[in-house]
Formats: sequence, structure tokens, C-alpha cells
Amino acid sequence: MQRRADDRAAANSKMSWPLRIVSLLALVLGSPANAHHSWARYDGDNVITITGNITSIEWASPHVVMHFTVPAEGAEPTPWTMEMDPPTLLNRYGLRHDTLKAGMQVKLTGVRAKSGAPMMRAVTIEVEDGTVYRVSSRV
Amino acid sequence: MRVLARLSLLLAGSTGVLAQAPPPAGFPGAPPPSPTAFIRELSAEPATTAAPGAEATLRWEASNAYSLKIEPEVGVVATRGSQRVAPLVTTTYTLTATGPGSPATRTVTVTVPGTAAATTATPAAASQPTALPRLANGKPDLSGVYSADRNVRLLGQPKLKPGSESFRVVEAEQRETGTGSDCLPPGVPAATMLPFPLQIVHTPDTFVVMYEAYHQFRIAPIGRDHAEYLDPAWMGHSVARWDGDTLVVDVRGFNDRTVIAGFRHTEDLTVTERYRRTAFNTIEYEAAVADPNVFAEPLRYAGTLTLHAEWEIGEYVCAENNQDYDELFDEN
Repeated sequence: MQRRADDRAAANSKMSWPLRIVSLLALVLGSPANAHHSWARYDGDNVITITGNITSIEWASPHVVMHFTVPAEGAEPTPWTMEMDPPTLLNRYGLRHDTLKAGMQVKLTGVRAKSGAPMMRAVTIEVEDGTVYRVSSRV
Repeated sequence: MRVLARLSLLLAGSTGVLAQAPPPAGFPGAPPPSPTAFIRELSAEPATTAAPGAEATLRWEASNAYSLKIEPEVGVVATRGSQRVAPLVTTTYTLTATGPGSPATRTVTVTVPGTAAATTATPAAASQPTALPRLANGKPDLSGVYSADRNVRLLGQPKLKPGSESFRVVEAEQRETGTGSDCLPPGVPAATMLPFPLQIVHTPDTFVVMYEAYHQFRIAPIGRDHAEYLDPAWMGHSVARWDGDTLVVDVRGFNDRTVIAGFRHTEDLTVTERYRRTAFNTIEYEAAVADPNVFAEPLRYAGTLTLHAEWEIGEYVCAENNQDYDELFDEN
């Protein structure tokens, strides 16, 4: 580990000034300034309902993230991403970390990215037995 | 990426699975209806006890409820849990889950052999303390888990000091990100204003606020002055004093990296909070936020903190999954 650090230090010391500036810019621009974000990126005027199949769940803060696919006629299913409240809040709404699982079909109601990307923030989730869960503090 | 996203939008639209719900204009201002509360389980084990006064265990689980209570005897409970009861006579326990719409109820009966069912048709409400709890020194005890749940708000609009327009945060408009995007502490009073509960631990000497949001905490010694030197801190440095039955917390020694009502500020920021427990279940909260370099007059915040004795503060580690969402939003 120490050797790697030494190697990096040596590499940095040999770095040309233009490269150093580029590296610094990359560091600044690459910072997670656009990570944990507000609702402003979603189209709040249009609530959508969409049905899909869960492929994976990231049960973690600041947002639980669900990856799912939406069937497309005569084509590969479309991959979507959905985010909801963090685990602590979902827990108080009555969801456990294993309530939603890969393979389940779900109906999601929420708002979609203004850009039109297949990205949404859900406020409710309906699972196959008809149970509807609240997944956002906004409802 | 952008082309793929457009393509996926077309595909999703062509399948008919993407349907427009009834228009809730201005959402998130006017969100769709909240799902109603429901009870998944209420059980008693054993359903028949051995004798009067013998124990049985109630178990329950609900969803979408704002609050739950079990009557008689048990009182306010969390979303899921278990509790031992020891009925002297056959008793029917009622779990009521209150949420949006009509409350959900479910009952379970614990039979005690050789006894008749309790005759109270409507079980008496679990006794709710009404007197304000007091500390050993006679002052109000503010301890408990509370939720502000966006109830604490800025009163009016910030009045800027002339020439301080440059403190306005503009990247939030340009990039439409939130100021908490870097998972760093939100500051005071912002930490109270988020939809996460906080826990107050109060002794005659010390007032501690532990926030679920960002897992931050503040410790305010009561009756002490600030130290002469305060290292700039995200959540500032707090000291407390009593003004009658109101606890006044003075916070200063902030760094200049948080955002107040859409404005950056300087290290001269001060926050004066007032906590007054007006009822067993409520604290009236006020905060005056001043930075003479930015604001012409202090900003005033006010709201109610509601006791949720049945809750625990959970773990919120913002950095564990703080993704760069730009790619997902197709905005690279």
C-alpha cells in the first residue's frame, strides 16, 4: 500500500503543469456536486403510473434506488431507474428491506425526469397482491 | 445516452404502459392521494393463557400509518412490534392504524380461562400523560423523539443587506440540484426542517439534539457561555439558558459552507433557537437566524415539533449510496 502511495507521489511529481491543471479541473468537475439532489429535476406537473419488473434494489441512503424493466412489444425490455425515500423513512411507512425483491412486478406512481430519461421518483408502489405502499414523505 | 433515452421513452410510450394519472397540478405541491393505512398482522400468543395474570405476547405490523395505538392498556406503538400483556380477564385488544382516509382497525382476543370478557364495549383510551415532564431541577424536560416533518418554516421572505446579492445560491437553479447533494451536514435550523425525526436528550446540565438526518448531533451545555475561540463548524457550537420555561439555545461558530434560505452566509452567522414544551406531545420551536453581512434583519423560523415516543432514530448514512445521478437524468 505504502509503495503504491509512493508510486503515485512520484508520478505526480513528474506531472507537467498543463497535466496538473487538467487533473485539478477533473478533480473539481468530477466532485459529486450532482449527486443527492432535489426534486427539481423531476416534472412535478405530470404524475405518471408505470408497470415494470424489479431487477435490483439498492437499500441505502440517501435514496433507496430500484432498477426495473418495462416490457416493450417486440423489443428488449426498457431499463428504468426509480428512487424513493431512504431506508429509515421507508421503515416507518411499513416497508422492510426485503419487502421489494427482484422479480416482483410493481406498479409505480410518481414523477419522471424532466429530461425524459427513464428515471423517476415514486410516491407509491403497488405490489402484485394489490397492496399499495407509501414510499415518499411527499404524500 | 441521450439517443438511447429518447428511444426508451418512445418504446415505453408505444407499449401503453406509461399512462397519465389524473393531473395533480403543481406536484409536488399537490401530490397524488396518499395510500391508506392497513394492518398486516395482529396476533396473540398464546391465544388462551394459563390463568388470570399470565402473560401473552401481542404482535403487530402495519403500513402507511401516521400513528398506531393498541387499546386497552398498551397505548401508542411503532409500525411493527410486540408487547407482553397479562390480562386478568378475557380481553379483546384493538389495534387502530391512523393514516390518510379512514383508520384501519383489527382485534385479537386473549382468552383467560374461567373469566368473562371485559364488559367495556369501547376500551378506554390508553392513559396519555398530560402533565409536562420535569427535570430534577423543576424545569421542563424536553426529552423525547420528535418530528417536525416540514412543519418548521421560514416566516416571510429574507431581506437582504444592500450589496449582498452575490450570496444568493445560483447553482441550484442552473444545475437544479439540492444543496445537500454532497451529503455534508445541513446546518441549523435546516436539520430540524427535513422530514426526519430528531431525539432530544435533556438533563439539568445538558441539552442534546440528535438528528436522524445526516446523523448529526449537537450538545448544548446549559448555563455556560461559549468558549472564547470557536473553530468553524457545520452545525455550529451551542450553549443553552432558560428564559422562564423556554430553553434558549445560542448557536454560533459556524463555517460558511451551509445555505440559509437559498443564500450562502459568512462565519458571523448566529442562530437563536427557542424550545417551549407547550403540551406533553408538542414543543413550539422558533429560530432567529442572523448574518449582518448578508441579511438586513434576522430571518425567523417557527413550527411545532410533535412527540413520537414510539419511534427510534434510525441510521442515515448519506454517503453510502450517493450516486452521481447526472447519467441517470441524461444530463451529462
